Amino acid sequence: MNSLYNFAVGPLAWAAFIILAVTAVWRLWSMYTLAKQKDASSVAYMSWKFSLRSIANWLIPYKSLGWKTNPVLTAVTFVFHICFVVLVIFVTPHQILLENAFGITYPTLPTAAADALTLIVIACCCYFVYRRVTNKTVRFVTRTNDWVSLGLVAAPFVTAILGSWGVGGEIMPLLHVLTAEALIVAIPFTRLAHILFALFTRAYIGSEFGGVRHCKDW
Amino acid sequence: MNKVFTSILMVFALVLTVPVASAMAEGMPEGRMDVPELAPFKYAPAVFDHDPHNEKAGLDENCEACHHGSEDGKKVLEYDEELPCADCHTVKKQKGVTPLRRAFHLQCITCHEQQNKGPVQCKACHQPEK
Amino acid sequence: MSIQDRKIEDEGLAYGVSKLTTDKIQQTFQALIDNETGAKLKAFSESCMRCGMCAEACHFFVSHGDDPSYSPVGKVSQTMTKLLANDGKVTPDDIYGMAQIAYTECNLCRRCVHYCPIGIDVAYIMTTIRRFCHKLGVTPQYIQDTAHSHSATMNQMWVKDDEWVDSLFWQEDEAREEFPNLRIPMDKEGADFYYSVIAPEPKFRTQLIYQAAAIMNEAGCDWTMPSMPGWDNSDMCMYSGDFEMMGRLKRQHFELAQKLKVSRIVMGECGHAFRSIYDNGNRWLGWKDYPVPVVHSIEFFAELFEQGRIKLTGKIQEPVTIHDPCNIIRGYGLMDKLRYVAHQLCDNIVEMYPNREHNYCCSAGGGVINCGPPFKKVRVEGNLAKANQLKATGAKICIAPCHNCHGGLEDVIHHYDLGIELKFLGDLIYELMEKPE
Ligand code: HEM
Ligand code: HEM
Ligand code: SF4
Ligand code: SF4
Repeated sequence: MNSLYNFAVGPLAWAAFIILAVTAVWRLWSMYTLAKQKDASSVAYMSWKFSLRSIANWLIPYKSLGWKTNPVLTAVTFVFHICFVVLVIFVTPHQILLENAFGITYPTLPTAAADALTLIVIACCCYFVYRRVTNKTVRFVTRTNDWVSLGLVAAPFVTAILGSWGVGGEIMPLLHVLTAEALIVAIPFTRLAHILFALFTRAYIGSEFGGVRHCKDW
Repeated sequence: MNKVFTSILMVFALVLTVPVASAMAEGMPEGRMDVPELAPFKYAPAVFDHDPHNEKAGLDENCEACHHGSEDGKKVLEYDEELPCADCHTVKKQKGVTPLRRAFHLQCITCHEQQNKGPVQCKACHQPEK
Repeated sequence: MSIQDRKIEDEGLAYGVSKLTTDKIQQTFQALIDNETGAKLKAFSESCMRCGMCAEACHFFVSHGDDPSYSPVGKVSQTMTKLLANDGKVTPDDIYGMAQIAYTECNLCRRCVHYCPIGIDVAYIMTTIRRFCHKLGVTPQYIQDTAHSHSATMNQMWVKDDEWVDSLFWQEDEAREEFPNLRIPMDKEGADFYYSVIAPEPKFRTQLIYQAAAIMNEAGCDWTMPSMPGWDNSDMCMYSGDFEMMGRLKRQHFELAQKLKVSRIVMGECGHAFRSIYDNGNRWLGWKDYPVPVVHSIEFFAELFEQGRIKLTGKIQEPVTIHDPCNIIRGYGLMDKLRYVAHQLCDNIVEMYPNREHNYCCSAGGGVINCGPPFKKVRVEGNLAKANQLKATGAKICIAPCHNCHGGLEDVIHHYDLGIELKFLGDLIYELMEKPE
């Protein structure tokens, strides 16, 4: 058990992060070269000003027509994304692992707060599942990939909260680390690739709307 | 529609039913670390009772494995009985010194890893107080 | 419902599909992906979260009882997603449905862009499907006929060269009864601008040429109309997927300006023609900017009013509403100019909501109306959203500065019995302007 866990938080974690870094860079780079090669007539309109304008406006909840029209999803997706990022960075065990490995220190969340946010994230995932099943449009377009991605994201949180409650003893933290590593490695190859590309698609459409269409895209 | 998703769920369900063989409790008494410098605590103080631990780990003759000294800011494996850890390993980060919490973590976890004995997970040491 | 349950009989589609094999489809698709699409399609396809947020954007979706197969992402999922997932290996029957979706159930209006957090351009994906269907020879009969006309005559309506010139002479003659000094200067070298129209004007709506001539004359413009091919600025090839032909048409349109040595082109009140020069045609030709400056009629009229060159006898007092055509508003940002001109002409403008760049499409654009009678019902019933919008204003007059919008809104108004009169800006200016005694 010890050696498996040591392997998971040690070499396997390194491997996961290195695989993510290499594949993410490779995916972004090949997308960039492909764009230059084949989409020159679109790349020509890219603009910092309009890219940032679009990104900024879409980061404001209920600003865009899309956010306004889907109020519940908007609330859930903002909460989900924010909690995700906050938890990954600010839960105590992560900081401790970083401290042990690299000497990095920073303030972290109290355990009760981390538990609460984790439960919130799980609730958000449940809502995503619920919506995927009950919303006619979403059901019509859902593919296996969507379920896999959602499962991959939910798993580290489920195992984290169970671990925090002491369920499953030493197995749960191990499962947590393994599922988290699966998620990390899956990012560039599943629908989670939106983590890599969404900023750029937004920037592109923002530039189109600002530069060619002279109107807002939100 | 979804074999992959169902099978992932199945695996989880299975794992939860695995009877958990807890490696930790055996032979370790109630004592805990007492390092007030590290307060406020997010986790319960680590389980540690000096004499039983060292007996079990065969460290009776080998104090300097933990209680090392220092020379010119470098760690030397030379027993230094008088010196409390916190005198050198300050809680706050200082250049050239491993801060206290990291020092404890590295001290314990590294050895447990090398020996492949003793806890390495957070809660195996920081067992919640009943 | 899915496209399989609502196939509509069309001779063009049926004939095209009858000649397909799965192999040919796959080869054509792979060639399309290898040669014509790039990171845009790839990033859009991979980043779509299937969140369905775009559904409410589309008038087809909201007007067909929230049928998911009419949602933007639903249309993508039945076409491009399926093709990419199967590497192009689909049946000829599948292609029939894909063509029907891309040509007749999406107006390429881009309203859904305002709803998609990722920034996915469904109109681009549908355009790419059309391109693919064009390459397979599977196009609806009516729009293909206009594309044939473009290839054979360089105009959309099989107007012969002499018929065109005749129409101009005819309108000039008629107009001289009302405006004795009026001319439609033909091929006048070095004029300030040449005025280009779409071929349906000489064919069905000649009074628009009359009115334009009247306005140009009263405003004292130094203008001309060309006698040579290139006078038609419309572009159904852009919508049928025949991009080679689209490129030729755009080139001809600009080269005519260079031949006539005019300093710019003024384009009539049409939306899609404008899209073809600022968005699609120029890109195909590799132009970021135009070789000759171009303005849309809305901009041109705004200029005339700003310079005080049109004198009006009065303004319309009744409530008037404004329909914002996608291709010049969401497409080109002319909403403020349009309002400026409209307020010059009308005292009581009642906005419809949503408006400006959020406005609903007329459901005729994107070549959908040009696919002809077989698809009319879906398009008109697919725009209950617009009918409700129009009705809510209570206005009996609606300004729509676009030919396609006129066609589409006319059908909507008729079908839902709204009793609203449609006007071009040119109609109102002509009606209201001071005329010789
Ligand atoms: C930390 C990285 C991120 C993770 C782990 C993540 C994960 C997820 C997950 C699991 C969903 C599922 C929604 C569903 O199944 O319906 C989702 C949806 C979405 N994400 Fe992310 N995402 C991340 C970053 C981003 C970024 C940077 C953006 C945009 C710039 C973004 C935009 C979206 C959007 C638009 C949706 C769809 C709306 C929804 O269904 O909630 N995400 N994301
Ligand atoms: C990106 C994916 C990850 C997510 C979303 C995630 C999330 C979390 C959360 C929310 C907690 C705190 C639970 C609580 O206190 O309520 C936690 C704990 C923990 N995480 Fe992660 N984590 C991720 C990746 C990792 C990785 C890669 C490692 C190790 C290499 C790791 C190691 C741990 C450990 C050891 C704990 C304590 C577990 C326990 O006490 O049960 N995590 N994680
Ligand atoms: S018709 Fe307009 S809103 Fe509907 S899918 Fe096409 S571009 Fe999007
Ligand atoms: S809103 Fe965008 S990301 Fe969501 S389903 Fe529609 S196209 Fe895909």
